[in-house]
Parts: sequence; C-alpha cells; structure tokens
Amino acid sequence: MSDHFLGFGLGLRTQHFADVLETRPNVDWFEVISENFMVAGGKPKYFLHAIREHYPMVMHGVSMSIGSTDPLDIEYLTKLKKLANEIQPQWISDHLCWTGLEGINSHDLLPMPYTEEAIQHIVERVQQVQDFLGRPFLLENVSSYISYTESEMSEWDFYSEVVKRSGCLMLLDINNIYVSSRNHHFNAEDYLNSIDPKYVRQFHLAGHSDFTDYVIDTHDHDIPDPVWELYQKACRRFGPISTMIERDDNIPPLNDLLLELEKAKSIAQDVFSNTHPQMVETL
Amino acid sequence: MSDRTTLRIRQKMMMRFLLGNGDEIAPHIKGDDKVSAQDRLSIYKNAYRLRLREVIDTDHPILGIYLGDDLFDKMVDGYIDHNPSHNRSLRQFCDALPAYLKEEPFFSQHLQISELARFERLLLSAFDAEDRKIATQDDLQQLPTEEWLDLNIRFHPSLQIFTTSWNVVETWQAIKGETPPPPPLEQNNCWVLWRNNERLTEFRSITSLEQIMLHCFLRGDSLSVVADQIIEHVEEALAPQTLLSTLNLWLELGWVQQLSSGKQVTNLEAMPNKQP
Repeated sequence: MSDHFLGFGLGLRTQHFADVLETRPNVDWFEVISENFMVAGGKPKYFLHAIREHYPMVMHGVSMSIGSTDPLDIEYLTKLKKLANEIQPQWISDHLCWTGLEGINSHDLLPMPYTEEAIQHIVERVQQVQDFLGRPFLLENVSSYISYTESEMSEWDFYSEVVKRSGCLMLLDINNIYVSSRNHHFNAEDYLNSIDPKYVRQFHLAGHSDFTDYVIDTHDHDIPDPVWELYQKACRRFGPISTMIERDDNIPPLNDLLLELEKAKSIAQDVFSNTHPQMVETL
Repeated sequence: MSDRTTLRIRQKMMMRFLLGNGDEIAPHIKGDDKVSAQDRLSIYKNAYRLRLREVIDTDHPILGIYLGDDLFDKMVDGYIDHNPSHNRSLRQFCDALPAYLKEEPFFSQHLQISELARFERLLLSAFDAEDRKIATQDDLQQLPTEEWLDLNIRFHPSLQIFTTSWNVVETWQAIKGETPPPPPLEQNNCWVLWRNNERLTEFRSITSLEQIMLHCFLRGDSLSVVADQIIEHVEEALAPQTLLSTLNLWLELGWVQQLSSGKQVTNLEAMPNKQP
C-alpha cells in the first residue's frame, strides 16, 4: 500500500462549511480549491482553518497555467506558497493545460497540443514550480473537446512523458479520461493501461453532461455508471490511491455526497479484498 | 518563449478566438463527422462567456434583479467584450463594472445603476477583507486620560465608506426584501459597511458629524484635532460627550482594530510586531 494513501475525500465547498464543522462527517480528507482561499480574510478563511484542525487537506489549483507560453506568474505562486504554509497540505495539484495568455484569463482548462515542443516547455516550468513550492506537486489530466492537427502523440503518452521528465506526480481524473475518450473516440482502458502506477498519487471522480455526440465535464451531476466502471478498473490497476469526489455545481446536501463516497469506498474494498486483503479492514 | 514558436502562435490564435477576434485557429483543430472543429471550438467560446456571466450574476444579484433580464444581458455582453478578465481569480472580474457602467453611453444615462454596482462591490470587499482582532471599549478605558488628546485610531480592514448621490442603498434593501424599489432619487448619503464579529457584512448610514470624524481619523488626525473639527458642528460643551459616545459606538460595532496615543498602543494583538 502506498505511504501516501489518504483514503476517501471530498472537495470542500462553501455550501458545506458549517455542516462539516458541526457534524464532523466520516470523510478521510478534504481537497480545497486554492484560488478560493487566496483572499485576505473573512468567512472562507475562518472555515478553512477551523476545518483544517480536524481533517488532512490537499490543495488543488485551477489557474497556474503551467502550459501557457506567458512567463510563470510569480505573484500567483507566492500566494499559493503562502496558503500552503498556512494549511500545510499533503500535496498541491493543478492541471496539465493552459488557462490564459498575455495577461488575459480564459478561466478554462485549455488543452495542449501533444508535441515534443510542448513537453519541453512544460517540463521546465514544472521543475521551476516544484523548486519554488518545495512540496509534492501533481498534474491532473483535463477533459478536452478539441485536439490539434499538429499533435504528435496520444494524450496519455504526452502526460506520461511530462511527469516522467519533470519528476512531478499524477492526479488522475477518472471522469476526465471517460469524457475525453468519448469526445476523441479512444478506449479509456488504453489510457489507464498506459499509465505507470508509480506516478499516480490521487484520483478524482465526478459527473458530466452527456450530449450523445459529445460529453462536457460539468461536475454538476452524480457520478454515472461508466465512470464508476472505469474507477473499478483503475483500482485494479493502480491499487489503493487517495480518491475524492469533485462536485462544483448543482451541489447537493453533504449527506448525498457522503453516500457517493461510500460507493467509491465499497468499489475499492471489493477490488482490494482480492489484491490488498490486509488493507481492506482499514478502509 | 519566443513569439515565433508553434505553441505560442497556436495559443494566441485560441485566445483571439475565445475573445471573438478571429477564427484562424479552426484549421488547426481536428473535426469529425459527428462534431466539426468549429462546433468543438464553440464549446470553449460559449463556456468562456457563460462562466463570466455567472460571476456577474453571483457578485451582483440585486443589480441583476434591478435591471431585469434584457438590460442585464446588455450589460453582461458589453462588459465581457469591454473587459476581458485580467485576474487569475474570478473574484476580481467585476471590479471594473461600476466604472464601465458610469462611462458606457447607455448606462451612464442612469447613474444610479453604476452606484448600485459600486455598493455591491463594497459588500464583497467587506466580506473577505483581512482578519484583525478588534479593539474594545475596555481598551479605551485602559488608556490614561492624559493621553486621550493624542489618541489615534486604526480601523478594521473590512470597513468601507460608501458616499453616494443616489438612493441606491434603499433600492438594494427594497429588492433584498422582495418589495418594489423606490424610484431613483438624487440624494447625498454616506454609509459605512463592515464585517461584524459573526463575520456577517453589515452597513449603516452615518451622520455628517460621524463622517467628519471618520475622515479626520482616517487621515491620521489625533483626537484633539478631531475635537477642533467637530466644534464647528456641535456646541462646544457637548463636544467631549459626542466624541466619547461616537467612539464607544464604533468600538461596540467592531470598526476599530487599534487605539494608540504617542506613548501607548492598546489591543496589542492587532499589532503583533510592535512592543509597548
């Protein structure tokens, strides 16, 4: 079993702040969106610190823009490091994408062309970020709706190469793999099977919106069956990996998410009863 | 990275597309028989505008109701086109909205709209301003009376002053209470917004006398200078009591983070790096 297995967590959302603090739900850890807490003070910071006293946390960012050809934003990284010093997360993650250019932000996770040029560009930047933050750093695969004609390799080969050369780790979003597999007509299992388990530190689970011809990563629905099925396969391939549910819109009561988290735990337990029997009792 | 690299060129094309300034990116995107390259790109363009629209809607709920759907759409479209997001956090996206509404040819004919937007931004500023311990009435009592004339005040970071020529706070309150807003009316008002001890944002109108006192303390005047200023507005015999009761009120409301004279600072917790 990995030394870094945190168990089963949830994304900490404003709507659940008071509930979490009052009821102390059976959640092993929380993931927080870094940018939501890069404010001076007030309610968000109060709840962040109060909840941190009771739960391990990891920080997940959405705007590092590691793939952008703009210079790295040192002011942003400084704020990120300050927040990390405040809450001491187990690790920090962001996305394998770019989010803006020439000072303008798209507030979206824009995919990269899968080229050697892009790999070299990102690897250098990831190394700078890791040196600056001084903490474990994970990159997450994004959902995408476009692919570039100049791409020279598959998304999974691109992702693996960036991680291998830069020394960072993987936050594997199971839903994003499913969404992209539908949008770009590849086999999601090929993606999973190409990833080296030694790089995978965390899983994301989420829901999406299915428009038949394409799928959009909306995080506003329950986790659908195809994503649960892929998660089961991921558990078989990668073993116990810290897993969390990411819900960003149409947010249900905390108890609904706790039930979904129980389902994740149950799927993992079934898999590990064969592969990791010694750890099933601890889940 | 050089402007001539393929990656840089492609990212510039994509940003131009998202901002509605050209679709040179399209030939570099793969399409298929089910979803064309153009349709795939449109998913990103629509998401860009939708996301920013949601931010305006979330940050300015009362303004949205005040304007109604058509005018809100007009404002959203104009603002997004005019103000691409320059901040990584969406928290700052609408910071320029009051200025936009004040200058845009249509909306500038109705200045109360810009003022309503400005009021809602100040509510947000109070909501997530820096945390500081607040000074109390006990802190004031502890200050030796001979040092009172040198008293200076530092206000809590959440304190915001809203001076307006329109009745927009009354409009905000009416809509919040789900009653019809009053007609726009030009009237000079000064309000203070702050975050209370329960971390809830509050606001109250202040008198012209309080306004004078606030401005004097904010520019660093000591109590003796403030007293000289208010004597022009209240009877001299009543000035000490007026000053004291106002100070006590401010302390009770949580507006003050630190009281200090030249010799002494109270509420040392508010100044962790200073020694008495």
